[in-house]
Amino acid sequence: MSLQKLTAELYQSFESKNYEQCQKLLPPIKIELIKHNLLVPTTLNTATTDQLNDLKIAQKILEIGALSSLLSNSYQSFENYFAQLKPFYESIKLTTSSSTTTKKSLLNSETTKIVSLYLLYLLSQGSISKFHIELETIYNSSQFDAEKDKYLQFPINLERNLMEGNYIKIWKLLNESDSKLPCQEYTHFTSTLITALRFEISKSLERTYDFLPINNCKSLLYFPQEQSDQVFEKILKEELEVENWEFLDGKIYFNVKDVESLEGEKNSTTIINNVLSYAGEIESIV
Amino acid sequence: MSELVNEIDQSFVLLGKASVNFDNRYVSKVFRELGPLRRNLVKSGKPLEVLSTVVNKTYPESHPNVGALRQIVGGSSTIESDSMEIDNTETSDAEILPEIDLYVHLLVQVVLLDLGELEKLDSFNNTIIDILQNYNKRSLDFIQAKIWFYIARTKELIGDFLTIRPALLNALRTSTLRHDDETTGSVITFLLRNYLLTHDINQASNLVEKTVFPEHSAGNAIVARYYYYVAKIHAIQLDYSSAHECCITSIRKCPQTQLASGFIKSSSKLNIVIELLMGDVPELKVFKNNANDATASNEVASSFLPYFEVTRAVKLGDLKLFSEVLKKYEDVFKKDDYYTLILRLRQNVIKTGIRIISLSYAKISLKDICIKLHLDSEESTEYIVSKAIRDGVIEASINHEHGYMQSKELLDIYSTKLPQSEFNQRIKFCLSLRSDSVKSMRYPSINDGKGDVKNGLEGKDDEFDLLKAIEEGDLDDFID
Repeated sequence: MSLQKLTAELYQSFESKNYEQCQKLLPPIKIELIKHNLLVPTTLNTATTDQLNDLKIAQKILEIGALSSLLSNSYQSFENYFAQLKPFYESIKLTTSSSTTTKKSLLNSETTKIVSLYLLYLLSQGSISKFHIELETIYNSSQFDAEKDKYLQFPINLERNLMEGNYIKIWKLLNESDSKLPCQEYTHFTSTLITALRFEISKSLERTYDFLPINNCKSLLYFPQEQSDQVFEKILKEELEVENWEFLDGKIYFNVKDVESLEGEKNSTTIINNVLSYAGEIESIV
Repeated sequence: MSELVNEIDQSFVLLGKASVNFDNRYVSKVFRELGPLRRNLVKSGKPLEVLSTVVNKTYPESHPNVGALRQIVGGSSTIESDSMEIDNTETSDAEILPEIDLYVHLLVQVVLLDLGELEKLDSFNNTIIDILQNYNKRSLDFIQAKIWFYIARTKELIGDFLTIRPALLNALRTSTLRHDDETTGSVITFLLRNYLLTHDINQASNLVEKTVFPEHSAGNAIVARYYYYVAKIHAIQLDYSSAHECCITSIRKCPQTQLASGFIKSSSKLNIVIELLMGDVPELKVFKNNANDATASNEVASSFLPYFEVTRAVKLGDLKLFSEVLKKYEDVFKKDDYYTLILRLRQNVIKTGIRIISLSYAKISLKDICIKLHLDSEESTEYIVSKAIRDGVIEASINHEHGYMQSKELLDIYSTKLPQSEFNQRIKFCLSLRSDSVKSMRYPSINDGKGDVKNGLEGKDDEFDLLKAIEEGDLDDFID
């Protein structure tokens, strides 16, 4: 089948939200793109406007690929598509010629949407370091305007509040009615992000309190009050990997002390190791 | 003008020695003179004429590189070469030394850069890259490294970051294979700089991971630069403690002269930001010293002012002041390229705020904390305080039912392992300092004592100068 036909079919199945079909169509399309030397923008194939238009179609195809893999829950392939899209976003010729305004041309566009989805993905995976590397590029690029872009603002705010420990704001951000979110695709990450959020909170809780009434703990972790204590305990142990939480008389006791005794033993071994290494060094000097 | 020609001739003599003895120290001595020579060339007003005389004098007519050189420096007119005929016949018999050949190219590069003829320089660089590939001699290492510096610098000034990368990577491969540490080290730093300027942090961190930087054999100036870039990469990756270590090393390794003040300035700034991110407050000394160093220019003092104010905001734990400072100096931070790092400081401002409160009150209600720190609500205060406790910023616990925070009794620091680990760090530092200095000591080779009695006298005269040259390092690069 020719590239045009395949592409038309892809658009169609994407419109009708048939993401499985999209995933099937994409590999042959990519092979066609490679044949036409359109998969990666280089200085050679961005010379004429015709070529630029072709590349823009290629970019569109890859964006569909990224979105459809995200929506069908294959995160690995979403990451791959994003990696393939990156050269397109970085190619200045491609991004500036697309609109009349030359600077900050990508405000609220499809591109920033995908970038912000990738940022959310990184956050939900807990790869904060990668997140900041991406952020560094975004803040310093002439095409993005992180402060004004509604898509980019979302993950950036999320990360900032997460770092501050302002969990209540995150909870509000995540639970805004779907219409308020900048785009529908974000809802895809909410469940993973909420689990990540609860994990963070539970880690703080066990260091902060000696004990906590179960009901209060539920509300602090944003679990519904109606939930029975048994279910609550089960979820805590399975999803949040809490250890040493003891349920007693309607209260939860946090026993984190045994960790410290382990550390004590570690301490003495490190001291011994240190001293031994000094001895070795001194011997070599003398 | 003839003085300058003489001066260049003198350096040719030294380069000849370097070539014969395979001793790179002679080359460093030549480079010590390069800074003043460069300024004098500019002052003389006709640097190209000087160089054309030199080219005519040293190169035989048949030399393959003469064409390209003449094209740049001009003066290929027959009349001039006629007047130099006597010299020509003298030198044409002897093959021209590769050291001298490359040095002349380097001089042309420098002059073109000073004249601002970037286009010309760029095309000239391409011919140089070809020439570099033809030579393989260890006494060329220093000159090669320098030449690559100007090649990379030219591309940077033109604003073309991408096309130079393959050439640099090639150079890195060749020099690594030849164990040419000086060039390897410099090329790595140029690549890092290139990546960082285009904000390809991923690429940069990959490069750092995959390459072995010749830390002990490359020049101090290069090592200092390398550590500065690595510190920046680590800082962006949120690995503040290693970033801090690298930044300190870079400041320590950096030559302490006027020429390198720009470098010290930016690395101190980075250090301030990193220390703040780690939750430390930089000492007032840092700002004062840097202001005093350049009493001549207020510019330096004022360039540290934004950082001083940020530090103050963090130290006071005042969010309002912090956002004001951020707004006021946004352009400065963006220009210095630390804006994203400083944005991250917001959370530290809150944390220090909490710390101050926990130090002053044994018991305080969450509501009061909320009001004091201008936070949004009592609930969010509880989360923030609890996060601070988890991160080890304060030692306290919260009573949820009554809504207050209770600070724990201050621990006696000497009952913890903190002094132990601090002490350990210092011991390790001293030991590594010692072993480094033992490694870098120069021992006279066996031949020196007996075989070269004739050269002995001459050698001793040179020795002092050479040592001086090495001590000062080549600082010229820092001018830019």
